[in-house]
Amino acid sequence: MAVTDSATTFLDFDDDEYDEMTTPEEVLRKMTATWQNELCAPCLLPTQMELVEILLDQIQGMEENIGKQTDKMQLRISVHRVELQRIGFITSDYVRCRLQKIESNPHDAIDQHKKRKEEGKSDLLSESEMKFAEEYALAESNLFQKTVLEFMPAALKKMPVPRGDHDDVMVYAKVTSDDVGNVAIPDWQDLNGEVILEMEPESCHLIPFESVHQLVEDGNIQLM
Amino acid sequence: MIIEDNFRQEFYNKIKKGDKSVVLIVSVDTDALCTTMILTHLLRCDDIPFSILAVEGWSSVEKIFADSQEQKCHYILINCGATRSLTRLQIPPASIAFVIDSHRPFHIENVYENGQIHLLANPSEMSELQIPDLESVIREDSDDEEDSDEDEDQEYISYEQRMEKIRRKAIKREEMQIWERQRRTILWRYYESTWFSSPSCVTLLEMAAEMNRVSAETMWFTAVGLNSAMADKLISIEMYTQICVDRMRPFVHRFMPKNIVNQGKVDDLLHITFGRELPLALYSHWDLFSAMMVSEYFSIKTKNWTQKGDVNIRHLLAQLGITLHETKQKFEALPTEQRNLVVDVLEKEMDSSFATFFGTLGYCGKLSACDVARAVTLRLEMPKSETIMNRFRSGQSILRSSITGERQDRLNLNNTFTSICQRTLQVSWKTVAAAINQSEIIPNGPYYLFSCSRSIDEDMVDSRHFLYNTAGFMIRAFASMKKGRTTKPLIAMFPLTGESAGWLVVTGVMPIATIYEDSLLKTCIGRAFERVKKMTPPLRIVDDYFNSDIIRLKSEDRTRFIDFLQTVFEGTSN
Amino acid sequence: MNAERCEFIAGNSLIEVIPSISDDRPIHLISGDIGPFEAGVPCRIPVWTAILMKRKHNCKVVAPQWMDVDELKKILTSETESQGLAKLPDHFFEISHMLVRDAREDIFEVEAVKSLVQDIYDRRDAKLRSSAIEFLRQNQTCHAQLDNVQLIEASSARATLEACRQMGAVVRNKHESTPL
Repeated sequence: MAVTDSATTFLDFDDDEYDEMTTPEEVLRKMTATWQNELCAPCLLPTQMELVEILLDQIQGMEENIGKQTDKMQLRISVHRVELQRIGFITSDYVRCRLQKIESNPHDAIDQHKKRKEEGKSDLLSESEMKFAEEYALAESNLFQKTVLEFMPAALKKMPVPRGDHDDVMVYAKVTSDDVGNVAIPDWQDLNGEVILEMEPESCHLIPFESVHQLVEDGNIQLM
Repeated sequence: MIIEDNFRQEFYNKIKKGDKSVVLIVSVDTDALCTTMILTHLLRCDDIPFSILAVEGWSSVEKIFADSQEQKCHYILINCGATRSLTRLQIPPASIAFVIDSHRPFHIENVYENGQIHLLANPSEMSELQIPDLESVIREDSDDEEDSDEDEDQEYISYEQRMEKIRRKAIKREEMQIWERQRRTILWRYYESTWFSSPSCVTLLEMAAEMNRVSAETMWFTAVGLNSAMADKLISIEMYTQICVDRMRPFVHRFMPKNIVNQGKVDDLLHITFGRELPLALYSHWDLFSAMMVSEYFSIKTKNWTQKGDVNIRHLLAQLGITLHETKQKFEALPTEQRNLVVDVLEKEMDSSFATFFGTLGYCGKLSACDVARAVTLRLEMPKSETIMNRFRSGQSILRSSITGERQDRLNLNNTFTSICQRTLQVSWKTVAAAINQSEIIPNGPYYLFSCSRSIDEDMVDSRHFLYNTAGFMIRAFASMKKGRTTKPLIAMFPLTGESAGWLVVTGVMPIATIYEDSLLKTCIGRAFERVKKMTPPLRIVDDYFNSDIIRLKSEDRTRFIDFLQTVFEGTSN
Repeated sequence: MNAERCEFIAGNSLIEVIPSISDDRPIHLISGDIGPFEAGVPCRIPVWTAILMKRKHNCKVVAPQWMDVDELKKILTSETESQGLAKLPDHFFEISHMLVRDAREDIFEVEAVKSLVQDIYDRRDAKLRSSAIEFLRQNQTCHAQLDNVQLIEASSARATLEACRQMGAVVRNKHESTPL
């Protein structure tokens, strides 16, 4: 009863982003980092749903493999099971965290997503997240309409969309790449000026999120 | 069928490999709880899902079986199920039962039912079991019936042939009758007395050891389970000591503090030591005076239920050189040296060879397995108003709290010691004292009868621990008052109150003379009750308990029961 | 991020165990292969696997080198001497916590280890606290370099930081708004 784990077979993805051969191990490592960033970032980061999907495929494949095993009580089976549970936890916690962020301000999420599209950057929301955001926004405005806005004078019958207020949020960040170069942070002594910081590899900083936002998206900095 | 050894292969691996769901049917006693703790630890290690059903009587087992006729299960019956035929209890046909039960003797149908029922027995007790041969107790009685049918059909056979047939039939019938008679005697002898084998948890610990999965916790559970059998008077001190020496010794050394390289430093690990202990219940969580007051040994020695009792006890203390001051304060509050001194004196006085296990954890005080066993037992058995599963869980949490350092857990345990355990001992003593002072024990032909006139908490009356201890204490106290009271058994009746008002709980103990003789503490009281139940006109008796020597009897049938029992006992002695 | 998630992430770090079972086929996990196991021969596996096997009585955990009373004393001294945070092995606190909880028997002098780790944590926490106060009371810069800060320390400080930020916002609002 040989165990043929699908994890050993290398995956080949259609996505352009993953045109080179990637091992599930790497995907998982990337997922973990993404999850950690998402948890620590004050706003939504660009979606990495592809990673989630790949891992879900992996889980399914592995579950089928386990299902084929006759002796279900071996150590290896339970190690596999626990690993699947761990991966399941990361992916669902990642999705959960993002949904919470969307729920806290669905309109803003949609606006940001569209803005990024126009600028030609990577997607902020995945398709299903976008759908969720729209539905949530609609439901929310319906609720407000029925309960409050109806009874308001005409001039106030509009829901303002609050903008996410992340400009001055400080985050802990660790430099993970070798050549991050310099980062500009606002200078509190001169409101128009900037201070340039050198980001040494492996160094840790308490720093305004906006200054490192791009670096986080590029994967050069890990939030803590 | 009986599995004698290699439980790992024959029992555990079968559950492990099987595709059936695992259901533990657990009797509510401490040994069963400890066994369950060990077994579930093993099952968890192997990721085997299981469910636990706590049961308190045969009817609940029957109900479980009735509710799951369609299902395929591996039933593991712990401390229940061996003494009645599981086939007759309608065990679901597609299920398999493993019975880990310390009640003896096994029901013969369970022994010879080959595929479905597996009884776990210790190889050392096989000679003790004296199981009758298959041929002598079970026979397929279908073939002669067929014969007779053929006879009717074949009308053309000659007269001689017919005579021949008739004669053969007569012989067969006679053989049958002889066999039947023999069978009855054999079974009579086989079922005559009931007793308890070594606690189930010891068997399970050995199995865990075979799998290399013994931890200090499992060892501690076993120690508590073993001591509970002792505290409930299920096994004799000889048997207890023998189990400690023969079967527990390999484990004792493993969790001794000095074996772990840790030069005298206190760590947070659970350590278990084995050492001498006073057979004086709960004294380390009480003051000596109160503990001695209710202890069987000192109470009988000083006859402290009489008016002179108090003087006697002071006299004894003076003799031993123990001051009243020492005995009246909390034992734990005495300085260590003084404590050791007092214990030494008392040990000599009691001439005891009792030794037990002690658990130590960090800076928490030392706990004796014997005291913990009492606490767990009482938590399991009371209060009856709680559902059985809740009692099972609170027993479990008390057992666990004896090995966690959590403050709340310790408080909970101490609370159990000081409230329930001490009270039970006191009620037990008071019952005995009242019985003797008010001459409530009356000789009734071949036995002594005690009918309790005071009302005692229903909770206690329904507890096996209380019943066995009180009855055992009582017969000894009674015998100590006058010579020649050692040859008759004592039957004790306690009225129930509350919901079950109108019923009596009846139990009995064997004559002291036989108790001293027999290290297995065999009793035929259960058998006598069974026979009374079969007599006509039938009495309203409920024998749902797993212990056949505890039954419930409708109060109105009391007088007739007493008479019937007399007939039964006279019948046996003749 | 909270302490449990930190521990979860720390569970991926490798640790040495001495298996008590043998299995000549490696286990191909999604996160990489582990094994093969040979009874008595040490091998490195993720902490979560080690704890799983430990619970099944399948191995003994070899405490990391730094989890030794003398080593920890050294770390404590260097922590006391250095101005900033000293360098610690990755996931120092999380791994200590997991092993003390789940593999207590395998750690030598576990109580001493426990209190030393606690001391180290306290010392670092005190530094972080005073630097946080220092940072929050100034208005010169919005950046602080905190080399060697551990994930769990950053996580536990975040709540305070966020509270301070919101407090700041409230105060600012009060100053900016004109009373009616």
